[in-house]
Amino acid sequence: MIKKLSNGELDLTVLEIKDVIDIKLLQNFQDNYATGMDIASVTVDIEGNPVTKPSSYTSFCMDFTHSTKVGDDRCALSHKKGGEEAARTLKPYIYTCHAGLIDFAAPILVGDYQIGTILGGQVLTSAPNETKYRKTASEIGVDEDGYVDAVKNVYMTNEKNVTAAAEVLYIVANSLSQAGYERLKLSNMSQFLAENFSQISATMEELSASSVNVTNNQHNLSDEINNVKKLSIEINTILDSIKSIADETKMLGLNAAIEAARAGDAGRGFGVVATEIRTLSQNSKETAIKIMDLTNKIQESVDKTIETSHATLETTEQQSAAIQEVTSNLMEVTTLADELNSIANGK
Amino acid sequence: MQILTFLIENEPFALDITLVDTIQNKMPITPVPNSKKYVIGLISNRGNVIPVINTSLMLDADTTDNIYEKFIIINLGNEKLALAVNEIDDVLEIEEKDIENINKDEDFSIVNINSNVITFLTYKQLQKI
Repeated sequence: MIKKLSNGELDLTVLEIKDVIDIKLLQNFQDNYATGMDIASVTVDIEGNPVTKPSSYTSFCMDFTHSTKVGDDRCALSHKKGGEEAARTLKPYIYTCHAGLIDFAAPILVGDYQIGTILGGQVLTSAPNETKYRKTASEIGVDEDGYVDAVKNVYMTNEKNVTAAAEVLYIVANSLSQAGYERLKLSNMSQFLAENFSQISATMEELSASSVNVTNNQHNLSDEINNVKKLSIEINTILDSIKSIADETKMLGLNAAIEAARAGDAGRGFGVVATEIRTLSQNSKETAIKIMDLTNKIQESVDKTIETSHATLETTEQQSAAIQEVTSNLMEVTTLADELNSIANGK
Repeated sequence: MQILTFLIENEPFALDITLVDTIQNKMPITPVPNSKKYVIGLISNRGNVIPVINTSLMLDADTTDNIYEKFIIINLGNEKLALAVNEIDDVLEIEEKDIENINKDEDFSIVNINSNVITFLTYKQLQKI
Protein backbone atom coordinates (compact mmCIF):
# COMPACT_ATOMS: atom_id res chain seq x y z
CA MET A 1 0.00 0.00 0.00
CA ILE A 2 1.33 3.45 -0.89
CA LYS A 3 0.77 5.77 2.06
CA LYS A 4 2.32 9.11 2.85
CA LEU A 5 3.50 10.14 6.29
CA SER A 6 2.57 13.55 7.69
CA ASN A 7 5.97 14.90 6.56
CA GLY A 8 5.09 13.96 2.96
CA GLU A 9 7.50 11.00 2.79
CA LEU A 10 6.46 7.45 1.92
CA ASP A 11 5.48 5.11 4.77
CA LEU A 12 7.85 2.14 4.29
CA THR A 13 6.06 0.02 6.90
CA VAL A 14 3.00 -0.42 4.70
CA LEU A 15 4.85 -0.58 1.37
CA GLU A 16 4.22 -3.87 -0.50
CA ILE A 17 6.22 -5.62 -3.21
CA LYS A 18 3.59 -4.92 -5.85
CA ASP A 19 3.95 -1.18 -5.10
CA VAL A 20 7.56 -1.11 -6.24
CA ILE A 21 7.94 -4.14 -8.55
CA ASP A 22 5.80 -5.10 -11.52
CA ILE A 23 4.68 -8.63 -10.41
CA LYS A 24 4.30 -9.80 -14.03
CA LEU A 25 7.89 -8.81 -14.76
CA LEU A 26 9.07 -10.48 -11.54
CA GLN A 27 7.16 -13.66 -12.37
CA ASN A 28 8.63 -13.70 -15.86
CA PHE A 29 12.14 -13.22 -14.54
CA GLN A 30 11.65 -15.79 -11.76
CA ASP A 31 10.26 -18.44 -14.17
CA ASN A 32 13.10 -18.00 -16.66
CA TYR A 33 15.70 -17.86 -13.93
CA ALA A 34 14.35 -21.04 -12.33
CA THR A 35 14.27 -22.90 -15.63
CA GLY A 36 17.74 -21.72 -16.61
CA MET A 37 19.39 -22.42 -13.27
CA ASP A 38 17.34 -25.51 -12.43
CA ILE A 39 16.58 -23.90 -9.10
CA ALA A 40 13.05 -23.48 -7.75
CA SER A 41 11.92 -20.05 -6.66
CA VAL A 42 8.99 -18.13 -5.17
CA THR A 43 8.52 -14.60 -3.83
CA VAL A 44 6.67 -13.97 -0.59
CA ASP A 45 5.60 -10.77 1.15
CA ILE A 46 6.64 -9.75 4.65
CA GLU A 47 3.91 -11.96 6.14
CA GLY A 48 5.20 -14.99 4.18
CA ASN A 49 2.29 -15.08 1.72
CA PRO A 50 3.33 -15.85 -1.90
CA VAL A 51 3.03 -12.95 -4.33
CA THR A 52 4.26 -15.00 -7.32
CA LYS A 53 3.45 -18.48 -8.51
CA PRO A 54 6.16 -21.02 -7.62
CA SER A 55 8.68 -21.52 -10.43
CA SER A 56 10.15 -24.95 -11.24
CA TYR A 57 9.14 -26.61 -7.98
CA THR A 58 10.58 -30.14 -7.75
CA SER A 59 8.35 -33.17 -7.69
CA PHE A 60 10.03 -34.04 -4.37
CA CYS A 61 8.60 -30.90 -2.80
CA MET A 62 5.31 -30.48 -4.74
CA ASP A 63 4.17 -34.09 -4.93
CA PHE A 64 5.57 -35.47 -1.67
CA THR A 65 6.78 -33.05 1.04
CA HIS A 66 3.95 -30.50 0.62
CA SER A 67 1.34 -33.22 0.06
CA THR A 68 0.71 -33.85 3.77
CA LYS A 69 -0.15 -31.38 6.48
CA VAL A 70 2.86 -32.35 8.60
CA GLY A 71 5.19 -31.86 5.61
CA ASP A 72 3.62 -28.60 4.63
CA ASP A 73 3.88 -27.27 8.20
CA ARG A 74 7.52 -28.32 8.45
CA CYS A 75 8.24 -26.54 5.14
CA ALA A 76 6.50 -23.41 6.38
CA LEU A 77 8.55 -23.45 9.61
CA SER A 78 11.73 -23.98 7.66
CA HIS A 79 10.94 -21.12 5.28
CA LYS A 80 10.11 -18.89 8.21
CA LYS A 81 13.45 -19.59 9.89
CA GLY A 82 15.34 -18.91 6.65
CA GLY A 83 13.34 -15.76 6.02
CA GLU A 84 13.94 -14.51 9.55
CA GLU A 85 17.66 -15.06 9.29
CA ALA A 86 17.75 -13.24 5.94
CA ALA A 87 15.73 -10.41 7.47
CA ARG A 88 18.10 -10.21 10.43
CA THR A 89 21.25 -10.02 8.28
CA LEU A 90 19.60 -8.27 5.31
CA LYS A 91 21.67 -10.61 3.14
CA PRO A 92 20.94 -13.85 1.28
CA TYR A 93 20.93 -16.77 3.68
CA ILE A 94 21.65 -20.36 2.59
CA TYR A 95 20.40 -23.23 4.73
CA THR A 96 19.36 -26.90 4.67
CA CYS A 97 15.60 -27.42 4.90
CA HIS A 98 13.89 -29.86 7.25
CA ALA A 99 13.76 -32.45 4.43
CA GLY A 100 17.49 -32.09 3.68
CA LEU A 101 17.45 -29.95 0.51
CA ILE A 102 19.53 -26.77 0.15
CA ASP A 103 17.38 -23.60 0.20
CA PHE A 104 18.11 -19.92 0.41
CA ALA A 105 16.23 -16.78 1.37
CA ALA A 106 17.09 -13.31 0.08
CA PRO A 107 15.46 -10.22 1.56
CA ILE A 108 13.77 -7.70 -0.75
CA LEU A 109 14.58 -4.28 0.64
CA VAL A 110 13.62 -0.68 0.13
CA GLY A 111 16.38 1.29 1.77
CA ASP A 112 17.06 -0.76 4.89
CA TYR A 113 13.48 -1.86 5.25
CA GLN A 114 12.36 -5.37 4.23
CA ILE A 115 9.15 -5.62 2.22
CA GLY A 116 9.40 -9.29 1.26
CA THR A 117 11.61 -12.29 0.68
CA ILE A 118 12.59 -14.20 -2.44
CA LEU A 119 12.99 -17.89 -1.68
CA GLY A 120 14.77 -20.47 -3.80
CA GLY A 121 16.66 -23.71 -3.83
CA GLN A 122 15.29 -27.26 -3.69
CA VAL A 123 18.70 -28.56 -4.80
CA LEU A 124 21.35 -30.84 -3.36
CA THR A 125 25.07 -30.22 -2.98
CA SER A 126 25.89 -33.82 -2.07
CA ALA A 127 24.38 -37.26 -2.77
CA PRO A 128 21.27 -37.95 -0.65
CA ASN A 129 21.46 -40.34 2.31
CA GLU A 130 18.62 -42.80 1.54
CA THR A 131 18.05 -43.87 5.17
CA LYS A 132 17.55 -40.32 6.27
CA TYR A 133 14.91 -39.68 3.56
CA ARG A 134 13.03 -42.85 4.40
CA LYS A 135 12.88 -41.63 8.02
CA THR A 136 11.55 -38.22 6.91
CA ALA A 137 9.02 -39.89 4.59
CA SER A 138 7.64 -41.96 7.45
CA GLU A 139 7.58 -38.88 9.74
CA ILE A 140 5.56 -36.78 7.32
CA GLY A 141 3.51 -39.73 6.09
CA VAL A 142 4.44 -40.23 2.42
CA ASP A 143 5.48 -43.27 0.38
CA GLU A 144 9.09 -44.03 1.34
CA ASP A 145 10.12 -45.56 -2.02
CA GLY A 146 8.53 -42.78 -4.04
CA TYR A 147 10.19 -40.18 -1.76
CA VAL A 148 13.62 -41.77 -2.24
CA ASP A 149 13.05 -41.91 -6.05
CA ALA A 150 12.02 -38.26 -6.06
CA VAL A 151 15.05 -37.08 -4.12
CA LYS A 152 17.27 -38.84 -6.64
CA ASN A 153 15.75 -36.57 -9.32
CA VAL A 154 16.63 -33.42 -7.37
CA TYR A 155 19.18 -31.29 -9.21
CA MET A 156 22.68 -31.75 -7.87
CA THR A 157 24.98 -28.79 -7.84
CA ASN A 158 27.73 -27.38 -5.65
CA GLU A 159 27.58 -24.83 -2.86
CA LYS A 160 29.39 -22.21 -4.90
CA ASN A 161 26.66 -22.33 -7.54
CA VAL A 162 23.92 -22.09 -4.94
CA THR A 163 25.58 -19.06 -3.37
CA ALA A 164 25.91 -17.41 -6.80
CA ALA A 165 22.29 -18.26 -7.66
CA ALA A 166 21.08 -16.75 -4.37
CA GLU A 167 23.20 -13.67 -5.00
CA VAL A 168 21.73 -13.23 -8.49
CA LEU A 169 18.17 -13.38 -7.17
CA TYR A 170 19.09 -11.01 -4.37
CA ILE A 171 20.76 -8.52 -6.69
CA VAL A 172 18.03 -8.53 -9.34
CA ALA A 173 15.08 -8.45 -6.94
CA ASN A 174 16.65 -5.64 -4.93
CA SER A 175 17.60 -3.67 -8.05
CA LEU A 176 13.98 -3.92 -9.14
CA SER A 177 12.66 -2.93 -5.72
CA GLN A 178 15.17 -0.10 -5.35
CA ALA A 179 14.36 1.26 -8.81
CA GLY A 180 10.65 0.94 -8.07
CA TYR A 181 11.11 2.69 -4.76
CA GLU A 182 13.07 5.54 -6.39
CA ARG A 183 10.31 5.88 -9.02
CA LEU A 184 7.74 6.04 -6.22
CA LYS A 185 9.73 8.68 -4.38
CA LEU A 186 10.08 10.67 -7.59
CA SER A 187 6.38 10.37 -8.25
CA ASN A 188 5.63 11.38 -4.70
CA MET A 189 7.90 14.40 -4.92
CA SER A 190 6.64 15.51 -8.30
CA GLN A 191 3.09 15.23 -7.05
CA PHE A 192 4.01 17.28 -4.01
CA LEU A 193 5.71 19.81 -6.31
CA ALA A 194 2.72 20.01 -8.65
CA GLU A 195 0.30 20.43 -5.75
CA ASN A 196 2.41 23.16 -4.18
CA PHE A 197 2.81 24.99 -7.45
CA SER A 198 -0.93 24.86 -8.01
CA GLN A 199 -1.43 26.34 -4.58
CA ILE A 200 1.17 29.05 -5.16
CA SER A 201 -0.42 29.76 -8.51
CA ALA A 202 -3.84 30.14 -6.90
CA THR A 203 -2.42 32.41 -4.19
CA MET A 204 -0.64 34.52 -6.79
CA GLU A 205 -3.88 34.89 -8.72
CA GLU A 206 -5.58 36.11 -5.55
CA LEU A 207 -2.70 38.48 -4.97
CA SER A 208 -2.94 39.69 -8.55
CA ALA A 209 -6.67 40.30 -8.17
CA SER A 210 -6.19 42.16 -4.90
CA SER A 211 -3.39 44.27 -6.38
CA VAL A 212 -5.80 45.31 -9.14
CA ASN A 213 -8.22 46.26 -6.34
CA VAL A 214 -5.55 48.33 -4.65
CA THR A 215 -4.81 50.14 -7.90
CA ASN A 216 -8.52 50.79 -8.49
CA ASN A 217 -8.97 52.05 -4.93
CA GLN A 218 -5.98 54.32 -5.36
CA HIS A 219 -7.54 55.68 -8.57
CA ASN A 220 -10.78 56.35 -6.68
CA LEU A 221 -8.84 58.01 -3.88
CA SER A 222 -7.09 60.29 -6.39
CA ASP A 223 -10.45 61.22 -7.92
CA GLU A 224 -11.90 61.98 -4.49
CA ILE A 225 -8.92 64.11 -3.56
CA ASN A 226 -9.32 66.05 -6.81
CA ASN A 227 -12.98 66.57 -5.88
CA VAL A 228 -11.90 68.01 -2.52
CA LYS A 229 -9.64 70.42 -4.37
CA LYS A 230 -12.45 71.50 -6.69
CA LEU A 231 -14.74 72.00 -3.70
CA SER A 232 -12.18 74.14 -1.87
CA ILE A 233 -11.79 76.25 -5.02
CA GLU A 234 -15.57 76.68 -5.06
CA ILE A 235 -15.47 77.72 -1.41
CA ASN A 236 -12.91 80.40 -2.33
CA THR A 237 -15.24 81.66 -5.05
CA ILE A 238 -18.03 81.91 -2.49
CA LEU A 239 -15.67 83.68 -0.09
CA ASP A 240 -14.85 86.19 -2.84
CA SER A 241 -18.51 87.04 -3.11
CA ILE A 242 -18.80 87.25 0.70
CA LYS A 243 -15.88 89.71 0.63
CA SER A 244 -17.56 91.81 -2.03
CA ILE A 245 -20.83 91.72 -0.05
CA ALA A 246 -18.84 92.93 2.98
CA ASP A 247 -17.43 95.77 0.81
CA GLU A 248 -20.94 96.71 -0.33
CA THR A 249 -22.13 96.64 3.28
CA LYS A 250 -19.30 98.96 4.24
CA MET A 251 -20.35 101.39 1.48
CA LEU A 252 -23.91 101.14 2.71
CA GLY A 253 -22.79 101.85 6.28
CA LEU A 254 -20.71 104.83 5.15
CA ASN A 255 -23.60 106.27 3.16
CA ALA A 256 -25.84 105.73 6.17
CA ALA A 257 -23.33 107.65 8.29
CA ILE A 258 -23.32 110.49 5.71
CA GLU A 259 -27.15 110.64 5.74
CA ALA A 260 -27.16 110.55 9.54
CA ALA A 261 -24.69 113.45 9.68
CA ARG A 262 -26.89 115.44 7.28
CA ALA A 263 -29.86 114.86 9.59
CA GLY A 264 -27.91 116.49 12.44
CA ASP A 265 -29.00 115.67 16.00
CA ALA A 266 -32.04 113.73 14.75
CA GLY A 267 -29.69 111.35 12.93
CA ARG A 268 -27.41 110.66 15.89
CA GLY A 269 -29.00 107.28 16.76
CA PHE A 270 -28.95 106.30 13.12
CA GLY A 271 -25.27 107.23 13.03
CA VAL A 272 -24.59 104.66 15.77
CA VAL A 273 -26.39 102.00 13.72
CA ALA A 274 -24.34 103.02 10.68
CA THR A 275 -21.12 102.55 12.69
CA GLU A 276 -22.27 99.09 13.76
CA ILE A 277 -23.01 98.19 10.13
CA ARG A 278 -19.44 99.21 9.21
CA THR A 279 -18.00 97.16 12.11
CA LEU A 280 -20.09 94.17 11.05
CA SER A 281 -18.92 94.44 7.44
CA GLN A 282 -15.32 94.67 8.67
CA ASN A 283 -15.80 91.52 10.79
CA SER A 284 -17.38 89.66 7.87
CA LYS A 285 -14.48 90.60 5.67
CA GLU A 286 -11.89 89.48 8.23
CA THR A 287 -13.69 86.18 8.77
CA ALA A 288 -13.84 85.59 5.02
CA ILE A 289 -10.09 86.26 4.78
CA LYS A 290 -9.39 83.80 7.63
CA ILE A 291 -11.50 81.12 5.94
CA MET A 292 -9.70 81.80 2.69
CA ASP A 293 -6.35 81.29 4.44
CA LEU A 294 -7.65 77.94 5.70
CA THR A 295 -8.96 76.82 2.31
CA ASN A 296 -5.60 77.81 0.79
CA LYS A 297 -3.90 75.60 3.37
CA ILE A 298 -6.36 72.82 2.51
CA GLN A 299 -5.44 73.23 -1.16
CA GLU A 300 -1.74 73.03 -0.34
CA SER A 301 -2.35 69.83 1.66
CA VAL A 302 -4.49 68.44 -1.12
CA ASP A 303 -1.76 69.22 -3.67
CA LYS A 304 0.77 67.35 -1.55
CA THR A 305 -1.68 64.46 -1.11
CA ILE A 306 -2.25 64.33 -4.87
CA GLU A 307 1.50 64.18 -5.41
CA THR A 308 1.83 61.32 -2.91
CA SER A 309 -1.19 59.59 -4.36
CA HIS A 310 0.35 59.77 -7.85
CA ALA A 311 3.56 58.22 -6.52
CA THR A 312 1.58 55.51 -4.73
CA LEU A 313 -0.45 54.85 -7.85
CA GLU A 314 2.73 54.47 -9.87
CA THR A 315 4.13 52.04 -7.29
CA THR A 316 0.95 49.97 -7.08
CA GLU A 317 0.78 49.81 -10.88
CA GLN A 318 4.38 48.61 -10.98
CA GLN A 319 3.55 46.04 -8.31
CA SER A 320 0.54 44.90 -10.28
CA ALA A 321 2.67 44.46 -13.38
CA ALA A 322 5.35 42.57 -11.44
CA ILE A 323 2.77 40.27 -9.89
CA GLN A 324 1.30 39.56 -13.30
CA GLU A 325 4.74 38.74 -14.64
CA VAL A 326 5.42 36.40 -11.71
CA THR A 327 2.00 34.82 -12.19
CA SER A 328 2.66 34.09 -15.84
CA ASN A 329 6.13 32.68 -15.05
CA LEU A 330 4.58 30.61 -12.31
CA MET A 331 1.99 29.24 -14.72
CA GLU A 332 4.77 27.96 -16.94
CA VAL A 333 6.53 26.35 -13.98
CA THR A 334 3.25 24.86 -12.78
CA THR A 335 2.68 23.35 -16.21
CA LEU A 336 6.18 21.89 -16.07
CA ALA A 337 5.54 20.44 -12.62
CA ASP A 338 2.28 18.92 -13.85
CA GLU A 339 4.06 17.36 -16.83
CA LEU A 340 6.77 16.01 -14.53
CA ASN A 341 4.08 14.56 -12.31
CA SER A 342 2.38 12.92 -15.31
CA ILE A 343 5.67 11.39 -16.44
CA ALA A 344 6.62 10.20 -12.94
CA ASN A 345 3.22 8.65 -12.40
CA GLY A 346 3.28 7.04 -15.85
CA LYS A 347 0.01 8.65 -16.84
CA MET B 1 -17.81 117.40 13.69
CA GLN B 2 -17.63 114.36 11.49
CA ILE B 3 -15.17 113.79 8.70
CA LEU B 4 -14.99 111.26 5.90
CA THR B 5 -11.50 109.79 5.40
CA PHE B 6 -10.30 108.24 2.14
CA LEU B 7 -7.13 107.30 0.22
CA ILE B 8 -5.67 108.80 -2.92
CA GLU B 9 -2.50 107.13 -4.15
CA ASN B 10 -2.22 105.55 -0.67
CA GLU B 11 -2.20 109.03 0.94
CA PRO B 12 -4.88 109.72 3.57
CA PHE B 13 -7.29 112.60 2.96
CA ALA B 14 -10.37 113.86 4.79
CA LEU B 15 -13.24 116.26 4.27
CA ASP B 16 -16.19 117.57 6.23
CA ILE B 17 -18.96 115.00 6.04
CA THR B 18 -21.65 117.68 5.61
CA LEU B 19 -20.13 118.46 2.18
CA VAL B 20 -20.66 114.85 1.10
CA ASP B 21 -23.80 114.00 -0.83
CA THR B 22 -23.10 110.26 -1.23
CA ILE B 23 -20.37 107.76 -1.95
CA GLN B 24 -20.54 105.02 -4.54
CA ASN B 25 -18.62 102.39 -6.43
CA LYS B 26 -16.96 103.32 -9.71
CA MET B 27 -19.18 103.47 -12.75
CA PRO B 28 -18.66 104.13 -16.46
CA ILE B 29 -17.31 107.63 -17.12
CA THR B 30 -18.22 109.48 -20.29
CA PRO B 31 -15.14 111.42 -21.51
CA VAL B 32 -15.56 115.12 -22.26
CA PRO B 33 -13.56 116.56 -25.20
CA ASN B 34 -11.58 119.77 -24.64
CA SER B 35 -12.27 119.75 -20.93
CA LYS B 36 -9.86 120.79 -18.17
CA LYS B 37 -7.01 118.42 -17.49
CA TYR B 38 -8.29 117.30 -14.07
CA VAL B 39 -11.77 116.49 -15.37
CA ILE B 40 -11.82 112.82 -16.34
CA GLY B 41 -15.36 112.89 -17.70
CA LEU B 42 -18.99 112.87 -16.68
CA ILE B 43 -21.18 110.47 -14.74
CA SER B 44 -24.90 110.35 -14.22
CA ASN B 45 -26.05 110.19 -10.59
CA ARG B 46 -29.63 110.38 -9.31
CA GLY B 47 -30.66 112.33 -12.44
CA ASN B 48 -27.71 114.76 -12.22
CA VAL B 49 -24.82 114.90 -14.63
CA ILE B 50 -21.67 115.31 -12.55
CA PRO B 51 -18.04 115.96 -13.60
CA VAL B 52 -15.46 113.51 -12.24
CA ILE B 53 -12.28 115.02 -10.83
CA ASN B 54 -8.87 113.32 -11.05
CA THR B 55 -7.85 113.80 -7.43
CA SER B 56 -4.28 112.67 -7.93
CA LEU B 57 -3.61 116.11 -9.36
CA MET B 58 -4.09 117.42 -5.83
CA LEU B 59 -0.92 115.50 -4.98
CA ASP B 60 0.83 116.79 -8.10
CA ALA B 61 1.21 113.16 -9.03
CA ASP B 62 1.79 112.70 -12.72
CA THR B 63 -0.49 109.73 -13.10
CA THR B 64 -3.14 109.44 -15.74
CA ASP B 65 -4.21 105.80 -15.50
CA ASN B 66 -5.01 105.54 -11.81
CA ILE B 67 -7.28 102.80 -10.65
CA TYR B 68 -10.11 104.79 -9.14
CA GLU B 69 -12.42 102.45 -7.30
CA LYS B 70 -14.81 104.82 -5.53
CA PHE B 71 -16.49 108.17 -6.17
CA ILE B 72 -17.23 110.72 -3.44
CA ILE B 73 -19.99 113.03 -4.67
CA ILE B 74 -19.83 116.39 -2.90
CA ASN B 75 -22.08 119.46 -2.83
CA LEU B 76 -20.40 122.77 -3.64
CA GLY B 77 -23.22 125.30 -3.38
CA ASN B 78 -25.59 124.27 -6.14
CA GLU B 79 -22.97 122.24 -7.96
CA LYS B 80 -22.08 118.61 -7.50
CA LEU B 81 -18.63 117.15 -8.09
CA ALA B 82 -17.42 113.53 -8.06
CA LEU B 83 -13.97 112.95 -6.54
CA ALA B 84 -12.41 109.75 -7.91
CA VAL B 85 -10.45 108.05 -5.08
CA ASN B 86 -8.78 104.72 -4.45
CA GLU B 87 -10.50 103.78 -1.24
CA ILE B 88 -13.06 105.15 1.21
CA ASP B 89 -11.74 104.63 4.72
CA ASP B 90 -14.10 105.68 7.50
CA VAL B 91 -16.32 108.27 9.13
CA LEU B 92 -14.63 109.82 12.16
CA GLU B 93 -15.68 112.21 14.92
CA ILE B 94 -13.15 115.02 15.52
CA GLU B 95 -12.94 118.37 17.32
CA GLU B 96 -12.87 121.39 15.04
CA LYS B 97 -9.77 122.65 16.88
CA ASP B 98 -7.87 119.62 15.65
CA ILE B 99 -7.86 121.08 12.17
CA GLU B 100 -4.71 123.13 11.60
CA ASN B 101 -4.30 125.61 8.79
CA ILE B 102 -0.64 125.37 7.96
CA ASN B 103 -0.60 127.63 4.90
CA LYS B 104 -3.03 130.52 4.95
CA ASP B 105 -2.49 131.49 1.30
CA GLU B 106 -3.17 128.06 -0.07
CA ASP B 107 -5.83 127.37 2.53
CA PHE B 108 -4.06 124.07 3.09
CA SER B 109 -5.10 122.21 6.26
CA ILE B 110 -4.22 119.05 8.11
CA VAL B 111 -5.92 117.12 10.83
CA ASN B 112 -4.09 115.08 13.42
CA ILE B 113 -5.88 111.92 14.44
CA ASN B 114 -4.16 109.50 16.81
CA SER B 115 -0.81 110.91 15.63
CA ASN B 116 -1.71 110.24 11.98
CA VAL B 117 -1.52 113.36 9.89
CA ILE B 118 -4.30 113.56 7.30
CA THR B 119 -4.68 116.21 4.64
CA PHE B 120 -7.95 117.99 5.23
CA LEU B 121 -9.67 119.40 2.15
CA THR B 122 -11.61 122.55 3.06
CA TYR B 123 -14.62 124.04 1.29
CA LYS B 124 -12.45 126.90 -0.01
CA GLN B 125 -9.88 124.54 -1.43
CA LEU B 126 -12.56 122.48 -3.11
CA GLN B 127 -14.12 125.58 -4.62
CA LYS B 128 -10.87 126.27 -6.47
CA ILE B 129 -11.32 123.14 -8.53
